[in-house]
Amino acid sequence: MMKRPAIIFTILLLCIAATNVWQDKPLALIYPDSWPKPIYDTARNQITEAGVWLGRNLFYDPKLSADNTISCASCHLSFTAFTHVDHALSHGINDSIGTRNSPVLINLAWNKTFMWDGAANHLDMQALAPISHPAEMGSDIAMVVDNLKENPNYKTWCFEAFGDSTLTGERVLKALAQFQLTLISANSKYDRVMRGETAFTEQENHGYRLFKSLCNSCHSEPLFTHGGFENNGLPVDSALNDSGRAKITGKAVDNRKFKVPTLRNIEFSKPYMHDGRFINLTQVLNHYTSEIEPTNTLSPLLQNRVDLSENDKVDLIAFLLTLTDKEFLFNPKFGFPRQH
Amino acid sequence: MKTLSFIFSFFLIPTIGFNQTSGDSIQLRFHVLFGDSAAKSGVTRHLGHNNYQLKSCRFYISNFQLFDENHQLIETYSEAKLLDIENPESLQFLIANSPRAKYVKFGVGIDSLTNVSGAYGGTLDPTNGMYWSWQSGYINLKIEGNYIAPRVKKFEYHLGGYLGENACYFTSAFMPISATIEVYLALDQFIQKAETLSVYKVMSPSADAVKLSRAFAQLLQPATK
Repeated sequence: MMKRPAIIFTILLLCIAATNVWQDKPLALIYPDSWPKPIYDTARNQITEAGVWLGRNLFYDPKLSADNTISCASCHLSFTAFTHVDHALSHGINDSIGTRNSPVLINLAWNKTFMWDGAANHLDMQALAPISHPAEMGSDIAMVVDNLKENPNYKTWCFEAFGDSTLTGERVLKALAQFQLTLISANSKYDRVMRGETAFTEQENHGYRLFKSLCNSCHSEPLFTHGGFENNGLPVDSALNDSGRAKITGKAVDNRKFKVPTLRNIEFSKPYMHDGRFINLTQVLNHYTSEIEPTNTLSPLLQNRVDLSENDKVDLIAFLLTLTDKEFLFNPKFGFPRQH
Repeated sequence: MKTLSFIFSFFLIPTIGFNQTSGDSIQLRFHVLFGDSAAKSGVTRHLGHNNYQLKSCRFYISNFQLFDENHQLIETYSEAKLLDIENPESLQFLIANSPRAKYVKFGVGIDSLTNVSGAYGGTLDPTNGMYWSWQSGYINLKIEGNYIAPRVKKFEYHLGGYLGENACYFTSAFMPISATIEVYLALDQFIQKAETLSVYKVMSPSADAVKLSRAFAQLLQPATK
């Protein structure tokens, strides 16, 4: 029979657990004052240290896949701007090849839609797509929860993050979102120049002027994307026949439009375009100067010829390399979670 | 021991009174019917010239609205319920009442705001299998089955969509309030409607999804006196 003090202590613990007094430390997103406010509304998913830790562990856990071999990090490597380099098309379980190159995961708090065709309207829900895709992780969210819910680590982390040790689909998705929201890149040389801490070289400066004149409409500063969809004149790959945004909206006017990616850390995120067809930035610029395929959905911003000499291309690339943020790429808080 | 019993009794209070009605709450009880009998999976039914078997029927009801005698809105409760013919308990539930309320309406499906607001738990948790993985959006209604004779054909209706002309969220008719509101759904009429349209498969937002969703919502009717 329990003694009275032990009974009272047990009751107090139950009451505390019931009222979620254990609230984890909130984590603010740190970004430059000159940036717009994030689009992601944290009112329904407050970012906390424990939530980010849970999400980071999920992000690196291959148990999210049907055969326990593919994690989010398999296609989104931290050192390469959270994309899949040296692969035109990302691959998943059973060596399945997908139909697109994995996009970078950078500054997602400012994104209105996710994935190349904007299939996901909210960061919380984006992970459902790769988790379920037969050529990616081949699982589903219910199986993921089933696989992980009895794991003592996940029970502990879930309790620390959400005040309840029961892992649910909602909590998995929100934790993944919390981790990804912390992937902010804002300390490249470009950023340091904008803050007045350093200066571009003459070559980089020329490249920046060319960028502002020719590229800024779609790849708008400071996020280096306007967040919308454009047809940038890529000829269709007949093997993939990817209609892009039109696949989601069903509208002919969206045919061959893809989400404009950020150019931040572009030095490390090759190959380029939604299908990884270009292996270096010179090929990208050559496309814009001489390979654009005019169609009725071609971006109005590309209706005029893009004129760049070979020297211009070199200088423009020199500028693009200033968007590399090694503090982001090699941030130990973004890598494999070795220690709590 | 007495102290423990007293404390634990507080945790039992929310579970008492479910399926009981009081002036403060209304019970809604849904009857998904085929003809005069309850629709059940795996049971062979005859419809038109065909026999068929239902495999599943699940749908969301949400956003309960109370109206006064002049059909003026008094109160809205934004909760969502997932009804499943394989889970009879899901077909009846309580909502809060209001003294002036004379009618109730509800949404059939999930509204567009919820569709763009990220992850939810409970009945809206994606583990319930009512959320598309390949693109964002709730599946408002899932009806699956097979025609087995003389035609052999699968039918699958995953109806959803929240954007523009593909929005599939409809509201029910006004239903007079009583302690228990019996709501009937003639599922055979829904399947017949789909067959009339020669639509046997809908797996994404589309004009067919809208037509069938509208038809489904219209088939939800209160008991006639």
